[in-house]
Amino acid sequence: MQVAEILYRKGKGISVFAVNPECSVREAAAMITARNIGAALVTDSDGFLVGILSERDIVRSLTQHGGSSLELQVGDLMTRSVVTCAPEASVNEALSLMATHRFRHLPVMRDSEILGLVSVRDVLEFRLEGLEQHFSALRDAQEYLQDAVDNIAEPFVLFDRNEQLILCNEGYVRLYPGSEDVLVPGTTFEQILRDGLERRRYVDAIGREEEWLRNRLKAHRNPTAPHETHLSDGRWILVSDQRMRCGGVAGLRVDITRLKQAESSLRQLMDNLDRAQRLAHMGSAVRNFETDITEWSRETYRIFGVTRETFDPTTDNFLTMVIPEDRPQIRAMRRTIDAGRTPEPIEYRIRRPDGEIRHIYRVTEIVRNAEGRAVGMISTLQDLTEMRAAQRRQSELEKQLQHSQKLEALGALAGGIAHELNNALMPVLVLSKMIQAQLPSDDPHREDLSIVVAASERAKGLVKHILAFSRKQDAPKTQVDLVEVVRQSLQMLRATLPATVRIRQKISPVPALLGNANELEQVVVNLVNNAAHAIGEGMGTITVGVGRVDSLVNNASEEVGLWVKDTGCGMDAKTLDRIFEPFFTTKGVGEGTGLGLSVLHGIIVGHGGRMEVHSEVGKGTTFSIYLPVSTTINAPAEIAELA
Amino acid sequence: MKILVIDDDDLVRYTLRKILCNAGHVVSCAPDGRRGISVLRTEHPEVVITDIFMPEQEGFETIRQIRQDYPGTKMIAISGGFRGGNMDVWRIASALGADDVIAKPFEADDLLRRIDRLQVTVGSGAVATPASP
Repeated sequence: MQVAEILYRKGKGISVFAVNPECSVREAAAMITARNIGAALVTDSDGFLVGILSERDIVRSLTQHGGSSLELQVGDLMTRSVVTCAPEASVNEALSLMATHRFRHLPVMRDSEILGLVSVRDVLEFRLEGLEQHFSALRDAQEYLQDAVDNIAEPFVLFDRNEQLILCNEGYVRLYPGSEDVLVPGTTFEQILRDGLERRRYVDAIGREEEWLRNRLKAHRNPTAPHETHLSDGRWILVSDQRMRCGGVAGLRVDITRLKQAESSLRQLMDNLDRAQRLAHMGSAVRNFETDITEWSRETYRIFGVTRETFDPTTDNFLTMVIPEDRPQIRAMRRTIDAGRTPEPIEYRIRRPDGEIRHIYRVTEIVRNAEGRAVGMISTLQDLTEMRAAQRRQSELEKQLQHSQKLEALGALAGGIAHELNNALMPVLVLSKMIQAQLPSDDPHREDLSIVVAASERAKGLVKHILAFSRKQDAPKTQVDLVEVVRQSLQMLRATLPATVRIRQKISPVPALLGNANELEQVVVNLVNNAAHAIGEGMGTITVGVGRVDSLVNNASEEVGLWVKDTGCGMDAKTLDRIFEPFFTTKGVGEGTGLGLSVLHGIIVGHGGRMEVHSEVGKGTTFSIYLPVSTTINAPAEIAELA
Repeated sequence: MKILVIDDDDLVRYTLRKILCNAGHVVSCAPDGRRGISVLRTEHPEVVITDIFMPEQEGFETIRQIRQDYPGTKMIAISGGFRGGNMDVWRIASALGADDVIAKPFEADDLLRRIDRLQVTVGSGAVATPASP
């Protein structure tokens, strides 16, 4: 602020009042009073400033010398040593000059030209006016600030460098109901926190108030990243404090309760989706065409046997997991997708890092933006491994069921035929023998009748075999040691088998089972004889094994296994399908009836067991028999019904 | 001895009648269980030889009924085997009350021996008389 500005304010036409030294004091005083200017400049006849006559000079003279002072000349009373200042001088410089020289007035001059006169009063008035304007501006600024803060939608608070509340908005007060009296200027941040602790406002603080308070104060004093606070009324608040240049702290609070609820709902939805995918063995994959980033769901990672941390699901990485034979169809699918078309669902196999093969069924859809441009794709990946395995098992079981139904039907048919044949054989056998007994010993018909009887006996034996196959003749069952049965059978067989056939035994002790030793011996003898027949005239080995088996069919029961394995010619699939049928034989005419294996099958089924065969042409055949270990003889249900 | 033969096969009935008559027994025949029971009521045989699988009324039911109504009558079950199913025919017949069982075809001597054996165990006065109600 320059002195010139005061001159300008005092009057546009700077009123400089000057008198000459010869002018009477009375006249000068009247003029000063009339003009209310406090002082007059004294200039000589050439207009040069020679002194100043101030009201104070006049008053002092009147006090000392009385009314005669008015008759003196201005030159007698004026102050001669005059200090001046330039208009460019600052108001403070002017004030300083006047204070130094104990003047109340200061002429303002440029070169020798008198521009005006400023007094101490002028300067003080001027400064007072400036201060009033300043304070007014300050009041306005404060109002603006409060208004602005009140208009912030979110709770807002300002603390000074001493951590005392300067101001806060309505939102901030509403955030902490019941604390209106505390949230006033001058309250410290710690007092506000303690008030909240008393009201058990902060969920995290309950039970550890002092520790919580220390941490919270620390965070307030060194604010870094925003943090979340859970209030006991259920609300969630995002607390964001910012250190200001002046040392205070500006705090913004955002009510994020709904955001947290949405977040929680979203998390719940994601959890549900994960769970549903896990239950359905169905994962998902999403690819963004622009970024070429693919994201897998948790279930997809599980299906592939990899983790999000160790596996990046890029197309290349994914392809390495697909087994080589199935990769072409993946590439074809990729081409369809790249062309912006939705591909057909595909099924392929992957090999997990642990080596396990999984079957995947994949359905893909192209994702398009509002303009219809393909921007990504989403796929579902269903793990069909268990389903495919179950289908294979079912198919196998159906095949087995068909086979056993076929054998059952054949058995029923054979049983019916046997029944009729036995009836028909009754009179043939009995009456032939009767007639034979009645004929004289030299009767030529006796010989013929012997042939009839012999033929009938053969037929009777055949029927017995048929009945064995159809399980119609139940042999008595006792506790049998299978190991003993096998050893005795092999002992008996050894004499009859060719020397080129070697017999190996792999026998371990087994629990006793309920069965008929003769029938089981028949099984061993027949299987070993068949094996020897399969080996033929060359060298070969027959391995006979007995041991315990962990039953897969029924976990609760224990089974005993019997194996007869040969290195013979083996059988093709067509033969294998029919070997248990009665009258089916691979032997030449006259070499076998074809009833052997069907009878053995009947014996094993009669023992509650099962018989399996594995054979490869040129490599050999293995017959596996599984018999249940049982200690009780159950009476047939039919007796109970009929009795 | 009075013997009743129940069998649906007329050739079997003929053969058994021949065996038994030659051995000096008095033989009646019936082609099924129902008619066999009605013969039993009038003839009161000491021994009944019955087939198991027959039309009208089969052997198991016949054995059960005779054992219930005529407890003193001896019974021999005969069978050529099953026409189907998976039953232990002999154990069932025995459980229902048959004194002996024989599989067809059998020798004449075998049957006669078994009848003799029955006679020993039957003792005197064993005739087909209904059980007291």
